Amino acid sequence: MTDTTVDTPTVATDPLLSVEDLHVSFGRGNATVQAVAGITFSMQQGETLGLVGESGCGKSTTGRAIVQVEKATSGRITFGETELTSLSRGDLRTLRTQVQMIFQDPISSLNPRRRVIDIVSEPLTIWKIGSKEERVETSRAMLDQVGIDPYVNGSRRPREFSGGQCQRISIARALVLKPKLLVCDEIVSALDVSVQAQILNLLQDLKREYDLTVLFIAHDLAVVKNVSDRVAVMYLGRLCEIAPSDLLYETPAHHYTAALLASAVEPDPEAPRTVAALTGEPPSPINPPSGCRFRTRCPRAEARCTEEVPEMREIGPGHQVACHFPIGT
Amino acid sequence: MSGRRLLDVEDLHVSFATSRGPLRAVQGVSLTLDQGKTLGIVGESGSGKTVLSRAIMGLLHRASTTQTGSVRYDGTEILNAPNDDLRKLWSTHIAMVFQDPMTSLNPVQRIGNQITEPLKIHLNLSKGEAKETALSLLMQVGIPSPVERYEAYPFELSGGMRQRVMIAIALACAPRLLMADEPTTGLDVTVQAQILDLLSQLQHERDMAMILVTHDLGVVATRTDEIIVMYAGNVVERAPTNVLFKSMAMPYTEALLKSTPRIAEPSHTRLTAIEGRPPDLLNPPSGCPFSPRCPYAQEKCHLEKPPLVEAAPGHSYACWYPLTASDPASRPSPRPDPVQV
Repeated sequence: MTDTTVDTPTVATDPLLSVEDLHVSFGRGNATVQAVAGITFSMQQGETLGLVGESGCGKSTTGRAIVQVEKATSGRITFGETELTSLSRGDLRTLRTQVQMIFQDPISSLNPRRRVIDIVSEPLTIWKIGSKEERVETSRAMLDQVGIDPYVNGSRRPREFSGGQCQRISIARALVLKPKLLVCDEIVSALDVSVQAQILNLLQDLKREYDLTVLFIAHDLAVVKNVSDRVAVMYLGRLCEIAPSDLLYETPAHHYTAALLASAVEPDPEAPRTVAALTGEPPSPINPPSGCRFRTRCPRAEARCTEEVPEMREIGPGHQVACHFPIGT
Repeated sequence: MSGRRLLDVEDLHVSFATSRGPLRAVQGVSLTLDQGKTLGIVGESGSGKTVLSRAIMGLLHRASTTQTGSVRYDGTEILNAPNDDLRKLWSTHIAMVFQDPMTSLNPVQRIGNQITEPLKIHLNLSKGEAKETALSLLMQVGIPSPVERYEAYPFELSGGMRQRVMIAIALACAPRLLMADEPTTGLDVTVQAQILDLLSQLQHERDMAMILVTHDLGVVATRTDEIIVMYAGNVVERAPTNVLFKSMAMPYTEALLKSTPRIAEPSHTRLTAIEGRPPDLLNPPSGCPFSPRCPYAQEKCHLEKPPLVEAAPGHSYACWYPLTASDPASRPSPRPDPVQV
């Protein structure tokens, strides 16, 4: 599917994106950081998968490897019927019309010297889609849809907008080519809660309208639950658990998921007061623990966890966990 | 056991001189804090919560700000007090933990030096005594292998560890009031829980008063005695923590709570966003500062600024049409579509 103008019909059960045994390492020799160390998951057309974990767990690197901003060290990433890791540069460019990414810092990810309308229409210009007038028209409609008045604000530059508005502009730019897959990397973590709610609601609306498949990367458990159909939890470069959102939050099977949930604060004075469920901090990804990577902080760790890497296994419908002794068994 | 009054702030105004005129960042804030109690100050960016905490500490640049009103610490007026007087209070009476542990530590000084410095200056400890105290502080704040860390530079520590060092520095001279400005923002959730637990535990052990400044209602919900909600430089609601969450009166407080996603709710729950954005403080609206975004706003709200009134013991709010009004007829129904600003 190197030619984007040809629509390949996809069977509903075929995943839109599948990631198989993805590894991403930085550096070499003794200082190799295994940012992503063998993760496998797939995403169906139209679903939102939340990817949650603490800083340094490799969630952003995973997202960047999927859009091919970061080169995978090994493993396969299949989008539709295209294997991405072996694509030529030209074919990769074509791919970018279908896979788009939105970044964390809304202000620095927009060119400060360009007008907003030009920022949004640039992808159309690059791909020579429509005439000049049509491109401006499309961009105006897109800005309007994300809640920025194109006639009042189209000629302004990014610095004249607040963080929330800049994030709206980033969304417009990402969606103007009508991509199939959208990777959102911490897109609301720099915003105030009231603005965060606006952006999350907007994303939900646009997702429905454009039939988007969204990989939503964030560290905030409540935000991830709110937007996701399924949630994957990462720790130190590996996946711990994947399950439908409500199931994962109600009955976490991995001890790390449970600890994350126990640490989260809720705006409710009667909620059980959070206690630090974990002590210490994640070990260095340069020299990760043998066996299960979480074992050094896990309350349930035994000798087997040191010796044997737990593989992902299904413990319920759609509920996979990588643990030798999952909770509830 | 309610302790003595430690901090008494009355009608504090802070404004910055800008090229477009005065920016009124804090507009008449009053608060009190007793020994051993915790006060939460909640607000979004630009609400004035950080400026308020810095004004109380006396950390604002004098030449470019105008500060009026009164800040009394243990009965002594400290607003606009000479720096020499403030220096005697800092560390030993009032200490602060800043938001960003990455930039608040001196990058070219070893951790040990940074902790022993206040001990030597304020408590006149000898080098040996100071080191001993510093090591015990590092232990108290939960830093593993403190002897090695004592010699470390800040860049060798993670964010959570640096924040623990900041707390150790703040607590070195046993202050009676700890000001914590967003102490866990930027930290991971599991580390955030550790730091908040540490602060609560140390506060309890030392019978210390604490002001917890945050944007996150979740952080203050279970860890404060009283909460102040700020919006556009004003206190819009003030209540004991459990009263605030049970019977909030100000529509802004409600809006803030409703726009926060919660783990307890099922996924895809539609959030109630607050449309628009906070007012420009150089050119604030004439009436209630929240009126342009308030779903219940009436004509009066746009014209007249509501005063902060104590409606029930300990519970004050600044609203003409509070959510708690006993007579439902006196309360207008929400507009279906809040105005876009």
